[in-house]
Amino acid sequence: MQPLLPDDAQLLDRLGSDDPHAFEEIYRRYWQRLYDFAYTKTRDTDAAEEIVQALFVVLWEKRVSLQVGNLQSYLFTAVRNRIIDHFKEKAFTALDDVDSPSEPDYPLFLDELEQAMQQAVGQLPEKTRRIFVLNRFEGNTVRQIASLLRMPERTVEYHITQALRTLKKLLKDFILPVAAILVSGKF
Amino acid sequence: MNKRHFHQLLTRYRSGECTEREARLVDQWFALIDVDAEDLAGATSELTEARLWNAIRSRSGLDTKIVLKTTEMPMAESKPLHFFIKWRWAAAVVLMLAAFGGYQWVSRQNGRPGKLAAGETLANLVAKTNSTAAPMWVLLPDGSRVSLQPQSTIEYPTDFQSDKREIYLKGKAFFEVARDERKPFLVYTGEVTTKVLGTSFWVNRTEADKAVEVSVVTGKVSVFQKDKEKEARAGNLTGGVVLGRNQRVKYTPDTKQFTAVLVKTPIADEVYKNAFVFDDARLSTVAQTLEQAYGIDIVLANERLKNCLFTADINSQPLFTQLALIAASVNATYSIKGTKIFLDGKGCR
Repeated sequence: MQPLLPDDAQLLDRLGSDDPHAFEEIYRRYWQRLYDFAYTKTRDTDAAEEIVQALFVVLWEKRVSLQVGNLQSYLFTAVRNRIIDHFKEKAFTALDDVDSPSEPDYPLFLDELEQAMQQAVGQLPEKTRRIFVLNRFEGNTVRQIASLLRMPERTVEYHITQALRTLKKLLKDFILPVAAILVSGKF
Repeated sequence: MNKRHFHQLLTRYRSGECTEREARLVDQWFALIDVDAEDLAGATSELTEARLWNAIRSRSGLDTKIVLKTTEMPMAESKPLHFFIKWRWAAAVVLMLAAFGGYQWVSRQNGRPGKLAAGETLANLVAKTNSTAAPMWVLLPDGSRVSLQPQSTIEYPTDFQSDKREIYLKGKAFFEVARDERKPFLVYTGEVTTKVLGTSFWVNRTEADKAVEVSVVTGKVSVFQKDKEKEARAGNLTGGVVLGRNQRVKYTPDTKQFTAVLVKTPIADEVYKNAFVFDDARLSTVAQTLEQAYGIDIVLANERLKNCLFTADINSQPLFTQLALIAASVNATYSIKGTKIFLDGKGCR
Protein backbone atom coordinates (compact mmCIF):
# COMPACT_ATOMS: atom_id res chain seq x y z
CA MET A 1 0.00 0.00 0.00
CA GLN A 2 1.31 3.36 -0.97
CA PRO A 3 0.27 5.91 1.60
CA LEU A 4 0.29 8.72 -0.97
CA LEU A 5 -2.55 7.26 -3.01
CA PRO A 6 -5.94 8.69 -2.08
CA ASP A 7 -8.54 6.12 -1.06
CA ASP A 8 -11.86 5.67 -2.84
CA ALA A 9 -13.77 7.82 -0.39
CA GLN A 10 -11.37 10.73 -0.91
CA LEU A 11 -11.59 10.29 -4.67
CA LEU A 12 -15.39 10.38 -4.47
CA ASP A 13 -15.24 13.56 -2.42
CA ARG A 14 -12.92 15.25 -4.90
CA LEU A 15 -15.01 14.04 -7.81
CA GLY A 16 -18.05 15.61 -6.18
CA SER A 17 -16.25 18.93 -6.11
CA ASP A 18 -15.46 18.78 -9.84
CA ASP A 19 -11.89 17.52 -9.67
CA PRO A 20 -10.97 16.03 -13.06
CA HIS A 21 -7.82 14.45 -11.64
CA ALA A 22 -9.87 12.44 -9.21
CA PHE A 23 -11.97 11.33 -12.16
CA GLU A 24 -8.89 10.23 -14.04
CA GLU A 25 -7.56 8.39 -11.02
CA ILE A 26 -10.84 6.49 -10.69
CA TYR A 27 -10.63 5.58 -14.35
CA ARG A 28 -7.05 4.34 -14.09
CA ARG A 29 -7.86 2.37 -10.99
CA TYR A 30 -10.99 0.59 -12.24
CA TRP A 31 -11.22 0.57 -16.03
CA GLN A 32 -9.46 -2.76 -16.50
CA ARG A 33 -11.56 -4.72 -14.03
CA LEU A 34 -14.76 -3.21 -15.39
CA TYR A 35 -13.70 -3.93 -18.94
CA ASP A 36 -12.76 -7.53 -18.14
CA PHE A 37 -16.10 -8.05 -16.43
CA ALA A 38 -18.00 -6.64 -19.42
CA TYR A 39 -15.96 -8.73 -21.82
CA THR A 40 -16.41 -11.95 -19.83
CA LYS A 41 -20.15 -11.52 -20.06
CA THR A 42 -20.55 -10.15 -23.57
CA ARG A 43 -17.62 -11.82 -25.40
CA ASP A 44 -17.58 -8.70 -27.51
CA THR A 45 -14.67 -6.26 -27.28
CA ASP A 46 -16.60 -3.43 -28.97
CA ALA A 47 -19.49 -3.84 -26.59
CA ALA A 48 -17.17 -4.00 -23.59
CA GLU A 49 -15.42 -0.79 -24.65
CA GLU A 50 -18.67 1.02 -25.25
CA ILE A 51 -20.02 -0.09 -21.89
CA VAL A 52 -16.96 1.17 -20.02
CA GLN A 53 -16.88 4.44 -21.95
CA ALA A 54 -20.54 5.22 -21.38
CA LEU A 55 -20.23 4.34 -17.72
CA PHE A 56 -17.45 6.86 -17.13
CA VAL A 57 -19.07 9.57 -19.22
CA VAL A 58 -22.18 9.28 -17.05
CA LEU A 59 -20.09 9.16 -13.87
CA TRP A 60 -18.58 12.52 -14.81
CA GLU A 61 -21.94 13.97 -15.81
CA LYS A 62 -23.47 13.00 -12.49
CA ARG A 63 -20.44 13.79 -10.36
CA VAL A 64 -22.07 16.54 -8.32
CA SER A 65 -25.40 14.85 -7.64
CA LEU A 66 -23.92 11.41 -7.07
CA GLN A 67 -24.82 9.71 -3.77
CA VAL A 68 -22.41 6.84 -3.47
CA GLY A 69 -21.26 5.06 -0.35
CA ASN A 70 -18.89 2.58 -1.88
CA LEU A 71 -17.25 3.49 -5.17
CA GLN A 72 -16.30 -0.04 -6.12
CA SER A 73 -19.73 -1.56 -5.64
CA TYR A 74 -21.31 1.42 -7.38
CA LEU A 75 -19.09 0.89 -10.43
CA PHE A 76 -19.68 -2.83 -10.57
CA THR A 77 -23.44 -2.46 -10.20
CA ALA A 78 -23.39 0.14 -12.95
CA VAL A 79 -21.37 -2.03 -15.30
CA ARG A 80 -23.64 -5.01 -14.58
CA ASN A 81 -26.72 -2.94 -15.45
CA ARG A 82 -25.09 -1.83 -18.66
CA ILE A 83 -24.25 -5.41 -19.57
CA ILE A 84 -27.87 -6.44 -19.05
CA ASP A 85 -28.97 -3.45 -21.14
CA HIS A 86 -26.61 -4.63 -23.83
CA PHE A 87 -28.34 -8.04 -23.94
CA LYS A 88 -31.72 -6.34 -23.84
CA GLU A 89 -30.82 -4.28 -26.90
CA LYS A 90 -29.46 -7.31 -28.66
CA ALA A 91 -32.65 -9.25 -28.00
CA PHE A 92 -34.59 -6.29 -29.34
CA THR A 93 -32.46 -5.95 -32.46
CA ALA A 94 -32.74 -9.68 -33.08
CA LEU A 95 -36.55 -9.57 -33.07
CA ASP A 96 -37.41 -10.52 -36.59
CA ASP A 97 -41.14 -10.49 -36.91
CA VAL A 98 -43.84 -8.57 -35.15
CA ASP A 99 -46.38 -11.40 -34.97
CA SER A 100 -45.42 -14.94 -34.20
CA PRO A 101 -48.60 -16.52 -32.85
CA SER A 102 -46.95 -19.82 -32.03
CA GLU A 103 -45.03 -18.31 -29.12
CA PRO A 104 -45.97 -19.52 -25.69
CA ASP A 105 -47.00 -16.75 -23.35
CA TYR A 106 -44.74 -14.94 -20.95
CA PRO A 107 -45.50 -16.84 -17.70
CA LEU A 108 -44.82 -20.08 -19.51
CA PHE A 109 -41.55 -18.70 -20.74
CA LEU A 110 -40.51 -17.92 -17.17
CA ASP A 111 -41.39 -21.47 -16.11
CA GLU A 112 -39.33 -22.92 -18.91
CA LEU A 113 -36.36 -20.73 -18.18
CA GLU A 114 -36.46 -21.55 -14.48
CA GLN A 115 -36.86 -25.24 -15.12
CA ALA A 116 -34.02 -25.37 -17.58
CA MET A 117 -31.64 -23.64 -15.23
CA GLN A 118 -32.65 -25.68 -12.21
CA GLN A 119 -32.41 -28.96 -14.05
CA ALA A 120 -29.03 -28.12 -15.40
CA VAL A 121 -27.67 -27.07 -12.03
CA GLY A 122 -29.30 -30.17 -10.48
CA GLN A 123 -27.29 -32.39 -12.73
CA LEU A 124 -23.98 -31.12 -11.45
CA PRO A 125 -22.07 -33.41 -9.04
CA GLU A 126 -23.08 -32.54 -5.52
CA LYS A 127 -19.92 -30.83 -4.36
CA THR A 128 -19.60 -28.85 -7.56
CA ARG A 129 -23.22 -27.81 -7.35
CA ARG A 130 -22.90 -26.65 -3.77
CA ILE A 131 -19.87 -24.53 -4.56
CA PHE A 132 -21.39 -23.17 -7.73
CA VAL A 133 -24.64 -22.15 -6.03
CA LEU A 134 -22.75 -20.52 -3.16
CA ASN A 135 -20.66 -18.57 -5.62
CA ARG A 136 -22.93 -17.71 -8.52
CA PHE A 137 -26.39 -17.61 -7.04
CA GLU A 138 -25.63 -16.54 -3.51
CA GLY A 139 -22.76 -14.22 -4.24
CA ASN A 140 -20.03 -15.63 -1.98
CA THR A 141 -16.45 -15.02 -2.99
CA VAL A 142 -14.03 -17.84 -3.66
CA ARG A 143 -12.22 -17.03 -0.44
CA GLN A 144 -15.40 -17.11 1.63
CA ILE A 145 -16.37 -20.48 0.18
CA ALA A 146 -12.90 -21.86 0.75
CA SER A 147 -13.00 -20.99 4.43
CA LEU A 148 -16.61 -22.13 4.79
CA LEU A 149 -15.95 -25.55 3.26
CA ARG A 150 -12.38 -25.77 4.52
CA MET A 151 -10.76 -26.40 1.20
CA PRO A 152 -8.06 -24.62 -0.81
CA GLU A 153 -9.18 -21.66 -2.95
CA ARG A 154 -7.76 -23.37 -5.98
CA THR A 155 -10.13 -26.31 -5.47
CA VAL A 156 -13.08 -23.93 -5.21
CA GLU A 157 -12.03 -22.26 -8.44
CA TYR A 158 -11.70 -25.64 -10.11
CA HIS A 159 -15.26 -26.61 -9.21
CA ILE A 160 -16.64 -23.32 -10.48
CA THR A 161 -14.88 -23.69 -13.82
CA GLN A 162 -16.11 -27.27 -14.10
CA ALA A 163 -19.65 -26.18 -13.29
CA LEU A 164 -19.66 -23.46 -15.92
CA ARG A 165 -18.32 -25.82 -18.49
CA THR A 166 -20.88 -28.53 -17.73
CA LEU A 167 -23.74 -26.04 -17.59
CA LYS A 168 -22.81 -24.68 -20.94
CA LYS A 169 -23.27 -28.16 -22.38
CA LEU A 170 -26.43 -28.94 -20.45
CA LEU A 171 -28.10 -25.66 -21.25
CA LYS A 172 -27.10 -25.45 -24.83
CA ASP A 173 -30.63 -26.21 -25.98
CA PHE A 174 -32.08 -23.54 -23.83
CA ILE A 175 -29.81 -20.89 -22.47
CA LEU A 176 -27.21 -21.05 -25.12
CA PRO A 177 -29.53 -20.34 -28.03
CA VAL A 178 -30.33 -17.15 -26.16
CA ALA A 179 -26.79 -16.48 -25.22
CA ALA A 180 -25.51 -17.50 -28.62
CA ILE A 181 -27.89 -15.32 -30.55
CA LEU A 182 -27.52 -12.51 -28.13
CA VAL A 183 -23.87 -12.81 -27.55
CA SER A 184 -22.61 -13.88 -30.90
CA GLY A 185 -21.39 -11.28 -33.36
CA LYS A 186 -17.88 -12.51 -32.81
CA PHE A 187 -18.54 -16.20 -33.11
CA MET B 1 -35.79 -19.64 -27.35
CA ASN B 2 -38.02 -16.66 -27.20
CA LYS B 3 -36.32 -13.35 -27.80
CA ARG B 4 -39.43 -11.27 -27.25
CA HIS B 5 -40.08 -12.72 -23.81
CA PHE B 6 -36.44 -12.53 -22.98
CA HIS B 7 -36.42 -8.86 -23.92
CA GLN B 8 -39.53 -8.35 -21.82
CA LEU B 9 -37.90 -10.08 -18.86
CA LEU B 10 -34.76 -7.95 -19.02
CA THR B 11 -36.78 -4.77 -19.52
CA ARG B 12 -38.88 -5.50 -16.45
CA TYR B 13 -35.77 -6.35 -14.48
CA ARG B 14 -34.04 -3.12 -15.40
CA SER B 15 -37.07 -0.96 -14.74
CA GLY B 16 -37.19 -2.39 -11.22
CA GLU B 17 -40.79 -3.44 -11.71
CA CYS B 18 -40.33 -7.18 -11.75
CA THR B 19 -41.28 -9.87 -9.29
CA GLU B 20 -38.75 -11.46 -6.97
CA ARG B 21 -38.85 -14.56 -9.10
CA GLU B 22 -38.05 -12.68 -12.28
CA ALA B 23 -35.18 -10.94 -10.51
CA ARG B 24 -33.83 -14.27 -9.36
CA LEU B 25 -34.09 -15.75 -12.85
CA VAL B 26 -32.16 -12.88 -14.36
CA ASP B 27 -29.53 -13.07 -11.64
CA GLN B 28 -29.11 -16.77 -12.28
CA TRP B 29 -29.03 -16.35 -16.03
CA PHE B 30 -26.44 -13.59 -15.63
CA ALA B 31 -24.32 -15.89 -13.50
CA LEU B 32 -24.37 -18.55 -16.18
CA ILE B 33 -23.21 -16.55 -19.17
CA ASP B 34 -19.52 -16.25 -18.32
CA VAL B 35 -17.04 -17.33 -20.90
CA ASP B 36 -14.37 -19.77 -19.91
CA ALA B 37 -11.21 -18.16 -18.71
CA GLU B 38 -9.29 -19.41 -21.72
CA ASP B 39 -11.69 -17.57 -24.03
CA LEU B 40 -10.64 -14.25 -22.60
CA ALA B 41 -9.07 -12.19 -25.31
CA GLY B 42 -6.59 -10.50 -23.06
CA ALA B 43 -6.90 -7.71 -25.56
CA THR B 44 -6.43 -5.14 -22.87
CA SER B 45 -3.38 -3.01 -23.00
CA GLU B 46 -2.09 0.46 -22.44
CA LEU B 47 -3.39 1.27 -25.89
CA THR B 48 -6.91 0.32 -24.97
CA GLU B 49 -6.59 2.25 -21.74
CA ALA B 50 -5.47 5.40 -23.58
CA ARG B 51 -8.02 5.06 -26.36
CA LEU B 52 -10.92 4.61 -23.95
CA TRP B 53 -9.74 7.50 -21.85
CA ASN B 54 -9.54 9.82 -24.85
CA ALA B 55 -13.03 8.81 -25.93
CA ILE B 56 -14.38 9.38 -22.44
CA ARG B 57 -12.77 12.82 -22.24
CA SER B 58 -14.07 13.95 -25.57
CA ARG B 59 -17.55 12.54 -24.96
CA SER B 60 -17.88 14.20 -21.59
CA GLY B 61 -16.51 17.51 -22.87
CA LEU B 62 -14.16 17.24 -19.95
CA ASP B 63 -11.34 19.40 -21.22
CA THR B 64 -13.48 22.45 -21.76
CA LYS B 65 -14.98 22.13 -18.33
CA ILE B 66 -11.65 21.74 -16.58
CA VAL B 67 -10.33 24.81 -18.25
CA LEU B 68 -13.24 27.02 -17.34
CA LYS B 69 -13.48 25.81 -13.78
CA THR B 70 -9.89 26.17 -12.79
CA THR B 71 -9.40 29.65 -14.09
CA GLU B 72 -12.42 31.71 -13.19
CA MET B 73 -11.65 32.39 -9.57
CA PRO B 74 -8.13 33.76 -9.51
CA MET B 75 -8.43 35.66 -12.77
CA ALA B 76 -11.64 37.41 -11.85
CA GLU B 77 -9.97 38.86 -8.79
CA SER B 78 -6.79 40.07 -10.34
CA LYS B 79 -7.77 41.36 -13.76
CA PRO B 80 -10.36 43.70 -15.13
CA LEU B 81 -13.15 41.92 -16.96
CA HIS B 82 -12.06 42.53 -20.53
CA PHE B 83 -8.68 41.04 -19.72
CA PHE B 84 -10.26 38.10 -18.02
CA ILE B 85 -12.10 37.07 -21.15
CA LYS B 86 -9.11 37.44 -23.34
CA TRP B 87 -6.71 35.69 -21.02
CA ARG B 88 -8.58 32.87 -19.45
CA TRP B 89 -7.55 30.33 -22.05
CA ALA B 90 -3.91 31.14 -21.61
CA ALA B 91 -4.13 30.90 -17.89
CA ALA B 92 -5.97 27.65 -18.20
CA VAL B 93 -3.17 26.05 -20.10
CA VAL B 94 -0.64 27.15 -17.54
CA LEU B 95 -2.75 25.71 -14.74
CA MET B 96 -3.24 22.45 -16.54
CA LEU B 97 0.47 22.17 -17.04
CA ALA B 98 1.20 22.87 -13.46
CA ALA B 99 -1.30 20.28 -12.44
CA PHE B 100 -0.02 17.53 -14.67
CA GLY B 101 3.58 18.48 -14.20
CA GLY B 102 5.07 15.96 -16.54
CA TYR B 103 4.77 17.68 -19.87
CA GLN B 104 7.87 18.43 -21.81
CA TRP B 105 7.74 21.38 -24.07
CA VAL B 106 10.05 21.63 -26.97
CA SER B 107 9.99 25.26 -27.86
CA ARG B 108 12.04 27.11 -30.38
CA GLN B 109 12.04 30.78 -30.97
CA ASN B 110 14.07 30.65 -34.18
CA GLY B 111 11.94 30.85 -37.21
CA ARG B 112 12.10 28.29 -39.96
CA PRO B 113 11.54 30.48 -42.99
CA GLY B 114 11.97 27.55 -45.34
CA LYS B 115 8.63 26.18 -44.21
CA LEU B 116 6.72 29.41 -44.48
CA ALA B 117 4.31 29.84 -47.30
CA ALA B 118 5.21 32.51 -49.84
CA GLY B 119 4.05 35.94 -48.77
CA GLU B 120 4.19 35.18 -45.08
CA THR B 121 6.04 37.72 -43.03
CA LEU B 122 9.10 36.49 -41.26
CA ALA B 123 7.28 35.80 -38.06
CA ASN B 124 8.91 33.59 -35.48
CA LEU B 125 7.67 30.05 -35.45
CA VAL B 126 7.08 28.12 -32.28
CA ALA B 127 7.18 24.35 -32.37
CA LYS B 128 5.47 22.22 -29.73
CA THR B 129 5.88 18.49 -29.46
CA ASN B 130 3.84 16.30 -27.21
CA SER B 131 6.23 13.65 -26.00
CA THR B 132 3.93 12.48 -23.23
CA ALA B 133 1.40 9.66 -23.35
CA ALA B 134 -1.59 11.95 -22.89
CA PRO B 135 -3.10 14.59 -25.16
CA MET B 136 -1.85 18.11 -24.49
CA TRP B 137 -3.66 21.40 -24.96
CA VAL B 138 -1.84 24.12 -26.84
CA LEU B 139 -3.15 27.65 -26.95
CA LEU B 140 -2.60 29.59 -30.12
CA PRO B 141 -2.05 33.37 -30.18
CA ASP B 142 -5.59 33.97 -31.51
CA GLY B 143 -7.28 32.13 -28.65
CA SER B 144 -7.82 28.92 -30.58
CA ARG B 145 -6.96 25.73 -28.78
CA VAL B 146 -5.31 22.57 -29.99
CA SER B 147 -5.40 19.25 -28.24
CA LEU B 148 -2.13 17.81 -29.41
CA GLN B 149 -2.06 14.03 -29.30
CA PRO B 150 0.99 12.06 -28.14
CA GLN B 151 3.93 11.97 -30.57
CA SER B 152 2.58 14.92 -32.52
CA THR B 153 4.11 18.28 -33.31
CA ILE B 154 2.63 21.59 -34.33
CA GLU B 155 4.35 24.73 -35.47
CA TYR B 156 2.81 28.16 -35.59
CA PRO B 157 3.92 31.81 -35.55
CA THR B 158 4.22 33.52 -32.18
CA ASP B 159 1.83 36.09 -33.56
CA PHE B 160 -0.63 35.70 -36.42
CA GLN B 161 0.33 38.94 -38.15
CA SER B 162 -0.45 38.09 -41.72
CA ASP B 163 -3.88 37.82 -43.28
CA LYS B 164 -4.21 34.17 -42.36
CA ARG B 165 -3.57 31.85 -39.46
CA GLU B 166 -1.24 29.07 -40.58
CA ILE B 167 -0.41 25.98 -38.59
CA TYR B 168 1.83 23.05 -39.52
CA LEU B 169 0.92 19.69 -38.10
CA LYS B 170 2.71 16.39 -37.91
CA GLY B 171 0.63 13.70 -36.23
CA LYS B 172 -2.83 14.06 -34.81
CA ALA B 173 -4.62 16.97 -33.19
CA PHE B 174 -8.04 18.27 -32.28
CA PHE B 175 -8.69 21.94 -33.06
CA GLU B 176 -11.11 24.38 -31.49
CA VAL B 177 -10.85 27.42 -33.64
CA ALA B 178 -11.62 30.94 -32.50
CA ARG B 179 -13.88 32.76 -34.92
CA ASP B 180 -12.14 35.38 -37.00
CA GLU B 181 -13.58 35.70 -40.46
CA ARG B 182 -10.91 38.09 -41.65
CA LYS B 183 -8.14 35.58 -41.02
CA PRO B 184 -8.78 32.12 -42.41
CA PHE B 185 -7.40 29.29 -40.32
CA LEU B 186 -5.30 26.83 -42.31
CA VAL B 187 -3.72 23.59 -41.19
CA TYR B 188 -0.97 22.14 -43.36
CA THR B 189 -0.36 18.42 -43.11
CA GLY B 190 1.93 17.08 -45.76
CA GLU B 191 0.29 17.58 -49.11
CA VAL B 192 -3.08 18.46 -47.66
CA THR B 193 -4.45 21.76 -46.46
CA THR B 194 -7.50 22.01 -44.22
CA LYS B 195 -9.26 25.36 -44.18
CA VAL B 196 -11.64 26.08 -41.36
CA LEU B 197 -15.02 27.48 -42.16
CA GLY B 198 -16.41 26.62 -38.74
CA THR B 199 -15.20 25.56 -35.35
CA SER B 200 -13.81 22.20 -34.29
CA PHE B 201 -12.30 19.25 -36.06
CA TRP B 202 -9.66 16.51 -36.00
CA VAL B 203 -6.66 16.20 -38.28
CA ASN B 204 -4.72 12.97 -38.28
CA ARG B 205 -1.68 12.28 -40.35
CA THR B 206 -0.03 8.93 -40.06
CA GLU B 207 3.64 9.06 -40.91
CA ALA B 208 3.65 5.58 -42.37
CA ASP B 209 1.25 5.91 -45.25
CA LYS B 210 1.24 9.69 -45.57
CA ALA B 211 -2.53 9.53 -45.69
CA VAL B 212 -4.34 12.37 -43.99
CA GLU B 213 -7.61 12.10 -42.17
CA VAL B 214 -9.79 15.03 -41.20
CA SER B 215 -13.03 14.71 -39.27
CA VAL B 216 -15.42 17.45 -38.28
CA VAL B 217 -17.03 17.72 -34.88
CA THR B 218 -18.79 21.04 -35.29
CA GLY B 219 -18.91 23.55 -38.10
CA LYS B 220 -17.42 23.15 -41.55
CA VAL B 221 -13.99 22.80 -43.07
CA SER B 222 -12.74 22.49 -46.60
CA VAL B 223 -9.92 20.15 -47.47
CA PHE B 224 -7.79 20.35 -50.59
CA GLN B 225 -4.34 19.74 -51.97
CA LYS B 226 -1.76 22.16 -50.70
CA ASP B 227 -0.93 23.62 -54.10
CA LYS B 228 -4.58 24.22 -54.93
CA GLU B 229 -5.21 26.91 -52.38
CA LYS B 230 -5.91 29.66 -54.90
CA GLU B 231 -8.55 27.57 -56.62
CA ALA B 232 -10.07 26.65 -53.30
CA ARG B 233 -10.32 30.28 -52.28
CA ALA B 234 -12.06 31.13 -55.51
CA GLY B 235 -14.65 28.54 -54.58
CA ASN B 236 -13.45 26.03 -57.09
CA LEU B 237 -13.06 22.86 -55.10
CA THR B 238 -12.27 20.38 -57.82
CA GLY B 239 -10.20 17.73 -56.17
CA GLY B 240 -11.13 18.91 -52.69
CA VAL B 241 -14.19 18.61 -50.49
CA VAL B 242 -16.17 20.60 -47.97
CA LEU B 243 -16.90 18.64 -44.82
CA GLY B 244 -19.79 19.17 -42.45
CA ARG B 245 -20.52 17.87 -38.99
CA ASN B 246 -19.87 14.16 -38.36
CA GLN B 247 -18.11 13.79 -41.68
CA ARG B 248 -14.53 12.89 -42.29
CA VAL B 249 -12.32 12.73 -45.31
CA LYS B 250 -9.47 10.49 -46.18
CA TYR B 251 -6.79 11.66 -48.57
CA THR B 252 -4.68 9.13 -50.40
CA PRO B 253 -1.58 10.74 -51.91
CA ASP B 254 -1.02 8.12 -54.60
CA THR B 255 -4.29 8.80 -56.31
CA LYS B 256 -4.68 12.38 -54.99
CA GLN B 257 -8.20 11.33 -54.06
CA PHE B 258 -10.38 12.85 -51.37
CA THR B 259 -13.20 10.65 -50.14
CA ALA B 260 -15.86 12.03 -47.82
CA VAL B 261 -17.50 9.55 -45.47
CA LEU B 262 -19.20 9.58 -42.08
CA VAL B 263 -17.20 9.49 -38.87
CA LYS B 264 -17.20 6.17 -37.00
CA THR B 265 -19.27 7.40 -34.10
CA PRO B 266 -21.39 10.39 -35.05
CA ILE B 267 -22.19 12.67 -32.15
CA ALA B 268 -25.57 14.34 -31.76
CA ASP B 269 -25.80 18.06 -31.12
CA GLU B 270 -26.10 18.73 -27.38
CA VAL B 271 -29.53 20.30 -27.91
CA TYR B 272 -30.89 16.99 -29.18
CA LYS B 273 -29.48 14.93 -26.34
CA ASN B 274 -32.89 13.81 -25.09
CA ALA B 275 -34.85 14.24 -28.30
CA PHE B 276 -34.91 10.60 -29.27
CA VAL B 277 -38.11 9.53 -27.57
CA PHE B 278 -40.79 8.57 -30.06
CA ASP B 279 -44.37 7.59 -29.45
CA ASP B 280 -46.14 6.47 -32.61
CA ALA B 281 -44.08 8.98 -34.55
CA ARG B 282 -44.11 8.86 -38.33
CA LEU B 283 -40.84 7.70 -39.78
CA SER B 284 -40.49 10.95 -41.70
CA THR B 285 -40.45 12.79 -38.37
CA VAL B 286 -38.02 10.31 -36.83
CA ALA B 287 -35.66 10.67 -39.78
CA GLN B 288 -35.88 14.45 -39.61
CA THR B 289 -35.02 14.46 -35.92
CA LEU B 290 -31.96 12.32 -36.57
CA GLU B 291 -30.95 14.50 -39.52
CA GLN B 292 -31.05 17.64 -37.42
CA ALA B 293 -29.38 16.08 -34.41
CA TYR B 294 -26.46 14.64 -36.32
CA GLY B 295 -26.34 16.91 -39.36
CA ILE B 296 -26.41 13.82 -41.58
CA ASP B 297 -28.74 13.33 -44.54
CA ILE B 298 -31.14 10.44 -44.09
CA VAL B 299 -32.90 9.31 -47.22
CA LEU B 300 -36.08 7.24 -47.14
CA ALA B 301 -35.65 5.25 -50.30
CA ASN B 302 -39.31 4.30 -50.46
CA GLU B 303 -42.04 6.96 -50.07
CA ARG B 304 -44.18 4.47 -48.18
CA LEU B 305 -41.65 4.28 -45.37
CA LYS B 306 -42.80 7.72 -44.27
CA ASN B 307 -46.09 6.21 -43.13
CA CYS B 308 -44.49 3.74 -40.75
CA LEU B 309 -44.83 4.48 -37.07
CA PHE B 310 -42.04 4.13 -34.53
CA THR B 311 -42.22 3.94 -30.75
CA ALA B 312 -39.16 3.72 -28.52
CA ASP B 313 -36.82 5.60 -26.24
CA ILE B 314 -33.47 5.49 -28.00
CA ASN B 315 -31.79 8.39 -26.21
CA SER B 316 -28.92 6.37 -24.88
CA GLN B 317 -27.93 4.60 -28.10
CA PRO B 318 -25.29 5.69 -30.57
CA LEU B 319 -26.54 6.60 -34.05
CA PHE B 320 -25.92 3.30 -35.73
CA THR B 321 -27.74 1.38 -33.01
CA GLN B 322 -30.61 3.86 -33.24
CA LEU B 323 -30.78 3.20 -36.95
CA ALA B 324 -30.70 -0.56 -36.47
CA LEU B 325 -33.54 -0.36 -33.96
CA ILE B 326 -35.61 1.86 -36.21
CA ALA B 327 -34.95 -0.31 -39.25
CA ALA B 328 -35.81 -3.51 -37.35
CA SER B 329 -39.08 -2.11 -36.11
CA VAL B 330 -40.34 -1.07 -39.55
CA ASN B 331 -38.92 -4.06 -41.37
CA ALA B 332 -36.40 -1.99 -43.26
CA THR B 333 -32.64 -1.99 -43.67
CA TYR B 334 -30.23 0.90 -43.51
CA SER B 335 -27.06 1.46 -45.48
CA ILE B 336 -24.42 4.14 -45.60
CA LYS B 337 -23.34 5.56 -48.91
CA GLY B 338 -20.70 8.25 -48.70
CA THR B 339 -22.04 10.77 -46.21
CA LYS B 340 -25.68 9.78 -46.52
CA ILE B 341 -27.77 7.14 -44.81
CA PHE B 342 -30.42 5.27 -46.77
CA LEU B 343 -33.37 3.46 -45.24
CA ASP B 344 -35.05 0.99 -47.53
CA GLY B 345 -37.97 -1.37 -47.11
CA LYS B 346 -41.50 -2.08 -48.19
CA GLY B 347 -42.92 0.65 -46.01
CA CYS B 348 -46.36 0.95 -44.53
CA ARG B 349 -49.81 1.95 -45.73
